[in-house]
Amino acid sequence: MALFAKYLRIGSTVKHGFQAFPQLTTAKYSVYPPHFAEPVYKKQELDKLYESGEIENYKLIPFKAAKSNETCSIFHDPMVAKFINYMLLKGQKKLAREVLEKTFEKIKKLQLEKYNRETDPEKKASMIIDPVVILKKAVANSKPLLKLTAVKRGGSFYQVPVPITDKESTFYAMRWFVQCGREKDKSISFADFMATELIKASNNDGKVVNKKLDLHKQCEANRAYAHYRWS
Amino acid sequence: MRAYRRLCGYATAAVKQETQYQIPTAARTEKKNPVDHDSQDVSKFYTIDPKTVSNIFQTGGLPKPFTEQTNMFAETALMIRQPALEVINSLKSTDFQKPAVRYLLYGQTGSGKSLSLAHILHYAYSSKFILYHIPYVPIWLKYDRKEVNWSSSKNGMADIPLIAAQWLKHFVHQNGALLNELNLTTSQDYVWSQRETTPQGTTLNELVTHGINRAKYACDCMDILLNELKAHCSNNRCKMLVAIDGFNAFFNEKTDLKTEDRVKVTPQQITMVQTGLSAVLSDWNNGAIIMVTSPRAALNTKRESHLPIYLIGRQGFEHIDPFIPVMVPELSTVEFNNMLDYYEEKRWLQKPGGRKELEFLTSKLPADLMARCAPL
Repeated sequence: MALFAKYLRIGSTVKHGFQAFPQLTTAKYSVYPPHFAEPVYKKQELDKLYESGEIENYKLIPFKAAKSNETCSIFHDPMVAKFINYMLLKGQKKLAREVLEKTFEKIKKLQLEKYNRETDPEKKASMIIDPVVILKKAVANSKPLLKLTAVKRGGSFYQVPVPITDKESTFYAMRWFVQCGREKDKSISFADFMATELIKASNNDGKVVNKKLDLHKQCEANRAYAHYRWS
Repeated sequence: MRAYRRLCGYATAAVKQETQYQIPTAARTEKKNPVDHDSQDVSKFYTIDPKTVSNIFQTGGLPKPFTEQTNMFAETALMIRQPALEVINSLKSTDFQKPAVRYLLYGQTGSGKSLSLAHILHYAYSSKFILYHIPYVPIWLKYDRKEVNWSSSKNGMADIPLIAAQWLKHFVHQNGALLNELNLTTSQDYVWSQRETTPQGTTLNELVTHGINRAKYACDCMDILLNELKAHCSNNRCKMLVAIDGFNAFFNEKTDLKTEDRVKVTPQQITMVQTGLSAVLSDWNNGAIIMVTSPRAALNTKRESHLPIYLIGRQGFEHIDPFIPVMVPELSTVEFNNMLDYYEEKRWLQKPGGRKELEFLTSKLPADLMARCAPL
């Protein structure tokens, strides 16, 4: 039982008054040894595995349990779930989720206004209204290609441009969005600001894309230090 | 790691979604006048033209989320549903020489009671009823910071003059044109003060205008207006539809209101409430009375059930007895699918295919469905 309690952390701490009684939370991922595989929790993906016969490879591999926010619902999107996690403050996930939902609603409102105003049927058909697609496009547009790291050479630190992994650049892009949202003017709500920002970024414009371009410019300026990566 | 790479892939390979899916179109009827609606049109949408909407609902009557939605969709489309149709059909076949019939719409929060009432109001408006329409009672009784005075004409009663004047504006907005056409006049002299009197034979429009300009007398004006209208209806000069949304708020235990000398007033002590209660009495003919009870209009300690006897209590029940209860249920399967078709047609719902999940999450309540579909 002690082992069970250790693996499945029983959340007895009351967080911000949301949890009234002790609740079973999912296992911490660090308890799994490295040979455990990531769970496939989407039904469609599982069906694909069965169809292609790839499932045979997975049959003898132990799997981690799915996290509590990973569902096979059609409305669930891993990208959106990740974004919510980056937005989150003090573990208030419900609040973060609601704010993002409001953002999505606002995006749809703004886009539908444009859609109803548009008279050209071709442009109308090409217009994107789906907020999740806009979010993905915005993040894809603001992913940097390089980053700067501090390297100590001869007693002083140099900002050295180094290549960035896909994972890290996604993180940079999403973090920039959240940062811009927190730095915004107080007169405008987070959801409203984020909605306009995401729409702008999906059209390669706006604060976050400028941040990306600034980083690229700095990398370009510091290209002379690039060899410090090796020597 | 693999999962994370998959996640990043989502971001890089964004937007390339297949557009094979055929976007459905909602079932609609061409009949724009609710007089023509019959049982074949159930679960279909009909559009109200913007001019009528502004004539009837500009100063209240449609729920706020719905109004926002209509702005976004650039049209006001209502679904024709059984409860509203039932009331409209019985209004068509009523013998108006008999005392006014009372209907009570009730149902769960978010099941579409107010919009059913809107449909009925549209019917009444287009068949030339005078609308004595109270958009939502709790806005009278909730939220302090209103000016509440002791009434000068009725002892021990309280007035809310500004709100009453606002309501009179609402009344004129809805019925001004019709009142001019019918040319209804007052049947006796009304003395407001030493200097101000309304002589016999003034038009009702002027009476109401006086009430709006002199807000102090707005509450009395409401009462007089009702009595005049009742008398005119009984004399076969006009037809009237009394419609009260959030009716059960009349029977709440308390209000948020305080008079200037900091005395809390109960709903029964307010003159406007007494007017509303007397509007519901069927001591007149040539008209109908429609009430809507909703759990949201009750105090938040008293929302466990949506049944009228629970919400209005024994006293209220006896006040309106006998009445015809009309249950507004949740959407049927056909209506539910048509609603989602409509949302998809209007590009409001962007993810097709999750209908079973939505059905489970919202238990087919239209207001819940609207809220659920907002971020999707």
